[in-house]
Amino acid sequence: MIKRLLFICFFSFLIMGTSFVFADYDIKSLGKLPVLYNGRLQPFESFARQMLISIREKSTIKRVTEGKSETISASLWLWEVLTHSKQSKHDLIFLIHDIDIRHEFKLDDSQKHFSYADLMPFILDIQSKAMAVSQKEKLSVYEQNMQQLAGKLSLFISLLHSFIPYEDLVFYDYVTAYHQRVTYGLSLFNAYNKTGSLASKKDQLHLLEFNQDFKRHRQFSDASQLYLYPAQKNLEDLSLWSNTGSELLKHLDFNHISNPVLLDYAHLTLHYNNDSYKLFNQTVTNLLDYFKDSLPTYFNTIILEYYFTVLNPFYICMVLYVCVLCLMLLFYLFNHILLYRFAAYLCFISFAIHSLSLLARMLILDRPPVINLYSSAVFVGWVAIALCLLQERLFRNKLGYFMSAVLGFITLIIAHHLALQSDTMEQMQAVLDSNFWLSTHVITITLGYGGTFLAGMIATCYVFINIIKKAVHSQNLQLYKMVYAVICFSLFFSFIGTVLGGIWADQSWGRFWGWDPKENGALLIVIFNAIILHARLAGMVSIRGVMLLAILGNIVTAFSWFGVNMLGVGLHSYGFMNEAFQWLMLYIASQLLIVVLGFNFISVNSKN
Amino acid sequence: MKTVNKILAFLSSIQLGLFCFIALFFIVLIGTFMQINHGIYFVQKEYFHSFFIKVPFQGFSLPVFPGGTLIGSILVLNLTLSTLLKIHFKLKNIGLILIHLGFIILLVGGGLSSCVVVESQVYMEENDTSFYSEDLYETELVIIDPSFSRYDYIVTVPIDTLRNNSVIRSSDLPFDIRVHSFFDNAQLAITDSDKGVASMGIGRSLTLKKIPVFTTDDKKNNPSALLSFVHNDFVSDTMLVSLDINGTQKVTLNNKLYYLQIRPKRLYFPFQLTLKSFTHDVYPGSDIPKNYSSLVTINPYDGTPDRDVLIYMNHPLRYGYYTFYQASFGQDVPSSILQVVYNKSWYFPYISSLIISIGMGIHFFVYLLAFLKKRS
Repeated sequence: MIKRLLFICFFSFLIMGTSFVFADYDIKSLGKLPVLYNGRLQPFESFARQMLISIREKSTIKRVTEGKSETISASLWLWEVLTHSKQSKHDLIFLIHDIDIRHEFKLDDSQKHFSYADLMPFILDIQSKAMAVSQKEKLSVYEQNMQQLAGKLSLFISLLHSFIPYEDLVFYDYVTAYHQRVTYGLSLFNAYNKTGSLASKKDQLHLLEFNQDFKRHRQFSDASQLYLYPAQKNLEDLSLWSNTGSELLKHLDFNHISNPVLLDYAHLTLHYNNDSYKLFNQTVTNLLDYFKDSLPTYFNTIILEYYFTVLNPFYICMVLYVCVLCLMLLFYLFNHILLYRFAAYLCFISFAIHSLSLLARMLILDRPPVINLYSSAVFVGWVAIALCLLQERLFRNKLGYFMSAVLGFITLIIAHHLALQSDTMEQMQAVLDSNFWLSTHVITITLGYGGTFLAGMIATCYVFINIIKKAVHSQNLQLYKMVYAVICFSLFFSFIGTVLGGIWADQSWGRFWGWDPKENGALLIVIFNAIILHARLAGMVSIRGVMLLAILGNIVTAFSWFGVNMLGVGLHSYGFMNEAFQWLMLYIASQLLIVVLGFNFISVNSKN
Repeated sequence: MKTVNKILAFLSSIQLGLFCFIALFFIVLIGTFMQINHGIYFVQKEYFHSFFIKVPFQGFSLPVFPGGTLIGSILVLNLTLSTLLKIHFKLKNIGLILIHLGFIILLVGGGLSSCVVVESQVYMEENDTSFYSEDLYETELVIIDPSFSRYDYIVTVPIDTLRNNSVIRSSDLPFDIRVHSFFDNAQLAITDSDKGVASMGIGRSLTLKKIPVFTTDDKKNNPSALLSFVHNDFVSDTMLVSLDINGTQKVTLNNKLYYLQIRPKRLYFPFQLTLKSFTHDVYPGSDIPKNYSSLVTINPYDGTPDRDVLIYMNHPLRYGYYTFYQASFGQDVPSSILQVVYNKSWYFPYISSLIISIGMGIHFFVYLLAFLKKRS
């Protein structure tokens, strides 16, 4: 009982540790406000983190004020960018890896992060350099980095257009002044259209100003991708949401009544500027209540997504799996059963969080668990761990939790890095937009991946156990049986998955098989598993042979999972990655090394 | 008899099967890597649908590894013989037999479909009507006789015939065609009149440069040939025909007018297809494509009334053995590019996968049961 309590305390501590506490402004509630970005309604906090990931390549930001460094929440950072706060211009958010670019613009070479203020003098230069190479087929590393930097700057500039792109003007004042002049301007415009002239000089100037307003708001509307305002009627129709520019343009209709959401946001900028945080908090609460009533279908998932984003449960799982790993290693060293039990509890807790988080993602997106490379990593890990736990229950060989921890950690760290490359909850590109195929083909094929990795993992354990100490024959035989069963499992699922993929291809492209790299990758797994089973049947390989082949299976699976995406060709190349290439090579090398070790150190006649 | 037995034993051996699997593994792997630099059409032809993978060596192409077709054929033989000779027909083995049977059907079907599947495209702007699509890779020489009042008489000569023969003679043709030279890929350029490569037609003012064959999908080859026409004892001047020459060229033989052209191979539909409208939806507030769709009208020749069909992502139009799916769209005007696949063997993979899946299910389930029984 005490142990359980201890775990609960530890777990709650972890959760509490990740949430942000702010004494003054209610940034948490601000973070829950729904915004529309990239076709998906999401909490402000999610959007803010995505922006940070795109620009800073991290989801957190540290602000240095008077020599002190503090972590601020993504929502606060974004709000300050949108409202042009002076501090936000000096936040070190632009990550520039390329030393040549830093030299070219005479930037401080001792750091990698720069602020918008640092880069401001070079914006035009950077953008024209990026434009110059935009048509080129193959870019050098320097050119790629220049394009990336230009992209980051454009994204930041588009954020500056979310309200108004003027530093010295509060959005509230702008909106109020605009509201005052728009009605009169419109009547002047109509009068001018009827008569062809305006008598008073003042009116002419007013009309000129009105025309400028129109042009400016068109420009704002084109520049910003952040859709903050729903339509006043039919709020849940996402196609009617608008950004600030287009919302202000709506005033060209005589009968248009100001959008209450726009007014609330304008008030927020005023209160924030005046440091009146009570009024700010009050307005945020009102706005949140308004959305709660008017977006019944979306609101709960948005709140769920907010907590999901802030808690980052997969990261917690990753930490927990590391703890399990350490406990199991200690257990192997000291052989104290309490350590094993601790590890078991922790592993189950972590697996439960893992499962609930997958479920939460499914609820948020209204999609099956695997929709992109990121979620495939999370799900492959989950499948492998589920199988590990099952085998631990069946065989009780005290390897299950260890393997769960290793597989959980590896897959989640892959996911963690993939999350830093793109939106993990992106909308599905046209052809992928099919929940039926995503939930059948993609899941079965991922089950196959998970199985092959588990077989490889067990085989790796076999190699190390036999190298470290001479394992008992019965233990080897048990591991062998496990590997055999798991290979059958993954052959079955990767075959079914491949076939379902073929059927999907036939249904949407009219051909079952097109030798596309991703299709070939799946086929390679099937063939490789079949090779292992037939080599065993032919008596060409013994226990050691099957085990070493299973480790090679890891390479095949890693290739078809990630490798083919790196080829950058084919219909399935949805996630082309550069940096990951060296990691993949390292992984392949490590697996080959294990095979070589196994080959040299384990006698083939370890009587099997 | 002993030798026959030995041969049968070898052909049905699991070792041969294993060899085929390993070879297949490497073919797929190499074919995948080759797609970095080559297009899918080239890779399919050279690696998957070939008897041998060849490497150019001093002007020859040396076979260095078995190709997909050869391995597939051996595997079919091996699977058939091993199923018949090696596996005992017992209830326990029913899963195994089904897996092998399904696999045989899959391979045979795959081989068949590599021969019979035709992939082509049709580009239509809104309100355009089309009755054929054009092959993306294959081309043909057409000789059109326009002298009939209600139709044109068209003779097509596959490009392979041009490549492999110096004289083309056929009962369908009113004259012989002499092929002076053939180029799989050539670059044409305009020059002064009469300084060109041919002595009649547009080729009189065109120069020709032989260039290496493109193997990527984004560049189109330009097959070209220099021809002359022989009728009785009369031999015509030389004429350049080339895919890059738009439209037809005239030639008069025996006082009769003919039109000639090299054009993409056509696939004629049993109906007329009209594009009524094309739409391209994005997710609200983003550029992410949500759906492309083409509303088309089919007007069959067999007298069945015409009907409207919406072709969109994951929902192609199926008509007989034809499948029309939304492949792309034109940039400037509302227009649609539909991929047309004509596949008479589409049901093979369905049947075979079903059989294999059932087989695997039974086989592994039997083993699982045995395992659980042992445990208890």
